[in-house]
Amino acid sequence: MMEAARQRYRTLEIDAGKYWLTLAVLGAAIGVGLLAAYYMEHHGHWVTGMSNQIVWGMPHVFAILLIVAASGALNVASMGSVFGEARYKPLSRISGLIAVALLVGGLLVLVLDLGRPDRLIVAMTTYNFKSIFAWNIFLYTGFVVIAVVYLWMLFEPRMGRFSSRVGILAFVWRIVLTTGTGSIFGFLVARNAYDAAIMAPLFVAMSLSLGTALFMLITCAVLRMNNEDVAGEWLLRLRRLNGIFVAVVLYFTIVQIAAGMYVAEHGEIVRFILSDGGATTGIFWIGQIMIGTVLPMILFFHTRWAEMRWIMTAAMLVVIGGVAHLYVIIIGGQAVPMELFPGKTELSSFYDGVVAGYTPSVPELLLGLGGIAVSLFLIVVALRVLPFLPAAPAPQKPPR
Amino acid sequence: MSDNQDKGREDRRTFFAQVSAGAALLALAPGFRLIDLAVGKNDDEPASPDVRWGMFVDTTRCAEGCTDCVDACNTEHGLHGFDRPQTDAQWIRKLDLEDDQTGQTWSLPMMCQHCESPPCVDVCPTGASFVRDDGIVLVDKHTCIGCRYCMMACPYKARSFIHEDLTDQRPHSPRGKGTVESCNFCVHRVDGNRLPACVEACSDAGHKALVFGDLNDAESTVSKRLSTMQTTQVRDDLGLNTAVRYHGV
Amino acid sequence: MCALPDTSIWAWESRALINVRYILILTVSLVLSGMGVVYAQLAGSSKAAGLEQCVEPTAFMRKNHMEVLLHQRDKTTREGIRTPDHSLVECVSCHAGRDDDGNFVAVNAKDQFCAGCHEKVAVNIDCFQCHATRPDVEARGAEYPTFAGSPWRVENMYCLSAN
Repeated sequence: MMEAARQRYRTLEIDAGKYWLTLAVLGAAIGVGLLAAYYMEHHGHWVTGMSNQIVWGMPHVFAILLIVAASGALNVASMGSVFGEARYKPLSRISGLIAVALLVGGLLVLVLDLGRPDRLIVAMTTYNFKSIFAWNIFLYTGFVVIAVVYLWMLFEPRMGRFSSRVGILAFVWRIVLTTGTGSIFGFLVARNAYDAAIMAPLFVAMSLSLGTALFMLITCAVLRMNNEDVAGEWLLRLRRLNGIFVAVVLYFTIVQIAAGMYVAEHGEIVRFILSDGGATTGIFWIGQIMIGTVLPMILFFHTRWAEMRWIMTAAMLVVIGGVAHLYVIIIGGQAVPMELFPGKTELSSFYDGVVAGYTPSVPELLLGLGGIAVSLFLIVVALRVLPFLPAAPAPQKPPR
Repeated sequence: MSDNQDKGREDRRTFFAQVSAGAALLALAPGFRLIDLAVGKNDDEPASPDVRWGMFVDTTRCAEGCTDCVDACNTEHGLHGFDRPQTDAQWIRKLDLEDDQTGQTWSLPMMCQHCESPPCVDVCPTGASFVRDDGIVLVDKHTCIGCRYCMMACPYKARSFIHEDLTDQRPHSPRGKGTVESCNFCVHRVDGNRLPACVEACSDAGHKALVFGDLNDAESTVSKRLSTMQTTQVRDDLGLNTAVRYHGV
Repeated sequence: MCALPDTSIWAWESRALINVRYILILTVSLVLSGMGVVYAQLAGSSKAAGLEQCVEPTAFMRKNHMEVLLHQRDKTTREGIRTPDHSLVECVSCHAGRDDDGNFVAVNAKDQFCAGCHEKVAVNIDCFQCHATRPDVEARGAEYPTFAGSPWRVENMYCLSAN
């Protein structure tokens, strides 16, 4: 068997003060997020920027960012298990951990934004199986279960031989999961901004891109804390891969917009995003295209920027661009009024025929950031108690 | 004060109500029945799948600026604003239209269209949005978790989310923070064999732009109107088979 | 003795809260049995106060009112069955007390019919986040009539023609 180089793993070995300080900071962010959620629930949603026009707001941007990235964060583990790339295998554990943690954070944001979060038990026990949302509840919880089983197989040497099979299941599951998340929008027949099967592959592509970027950011940060050499070949390969994923997202975006331009009915939403949408247009061009697509692609593909800090910068830009992209999809898509009578100007007391305004409120943002803090908190605690992090193969100390 | 006295007064009141209602009915022209009595149900009977409630809207009789139906709905269901138009609930609204090319104008009420295959019901994760056996689309607020997916899915913008605490609701129209609601065809009235408040108000005011009844009963006034007059379903491209049909637009 | 309604209607709740539910029911019945006097005072000004018993025997209602309501809740919302006996609207209409000026007081106000016990046993109910807490005075006069009084009812029409 492969006796030669048995991979060793370490916990997060930072000193206790630093560890507790990190947890305290993240805990405070979580506390603020919970307070924000309580404030929103106590007063009702009128204190947020959301309304009867923009029914989903910043909490959904953050929640979907985390959920989609969760699926993509499992990329590295999949490459090890499914595609047999041995060089990624040491990173499988942390990959699975990040995936679970991001998903939990995202789901928490989604749940805390519900009008009746106290009825979570209803959501978990009463299902309408025609609803994509209901499927997603199973896809998300299933994903957590499968990822946890997968981690167990990775940790338990006697189970190691099953790990690739579970890895394949996890891989298929997460493709279905992101297809489901994209279809939340894709199956909305009412709105021209959605109502397209392309939402599913677009979300799969976004998950690959965002997940890889967040994986690189988090993994490099914690490996550095452990004083491990992070500039391995895996990072350079992931860098190129992330560049390709960003390009794939751009490709689907172009196809989506081109199709929209061709169909007269969709003209308004395309014009809104590309030129007439005010803040949304700005967020599209500057946030999604410049920051989230062009700059990272340059940084990822040009050899001149193949350095640690530039890779991290690019990954960060991808995440910011992802927030912008989801904002354009979710908020921008709702802002354009639905046409009940095509070819007629509509006027009412209920904002028919007018572009809906939306200003994100502070509690919404704090809730979203709280979700990210939950994910990071889980990651830090798990890293501290279990050996998730690969250690350098060479023995550190000479034998006595 | 004794119960007997009370009872007697109640009986008298009921009797007078019946007499005046009967007189009103007799005064109506033959063939113009506001509601179709044959399909009436008793309290202990469930809504019948043989019935499909629907509405005929004659936009040629609907005046711009008239809000009688909206006012009646607001009173019936205790809807009132908080001076926050972006989050205030509206179950029925007046929609004014102007043709971009010809300048022709219309005015019509817009509300839940009570689709046969409603997108809101398809997407609801808990099944809180449902179609009752007699075709009325409702939200079971006991199981609504306030996810607002139905609001994303409804092509008619018919639904409102309750954005704040409410007090002093009407007994027959429970409404509360954190759940989604929309026109329910005044289901409490329909179950008591009465007309929806908007239809009653429109008729009482003499506009007679709204006709309500059983679409499955060929003899009902609404069916007769629909079979003899040209009508449209809003967003008929979606194939939802709406129970509200518009004439003249 | 009234048979318990079919439990499958609220199966999701019993599954989740099975132990809590029974402990609560036990607590409620124990507390209530020692509260007869208080109970009578609470509801003193309501219509219910003058009646022999509720729609079911009092002991049954004390113990099972929540299940009765839950059963009727789904029947009414989902199927449109509106028999008055187990309807929450009727509960409120009958059990709402009046203040010194003769105005109805909310049933969930302090020391009133619902709150009186529920506060005592610390069982939080969310019925009244949506449901009216007093009869609908302003629109319907002093008493809230059932739909049986509606002029549009079929049997009323028939009555009229038979007379």
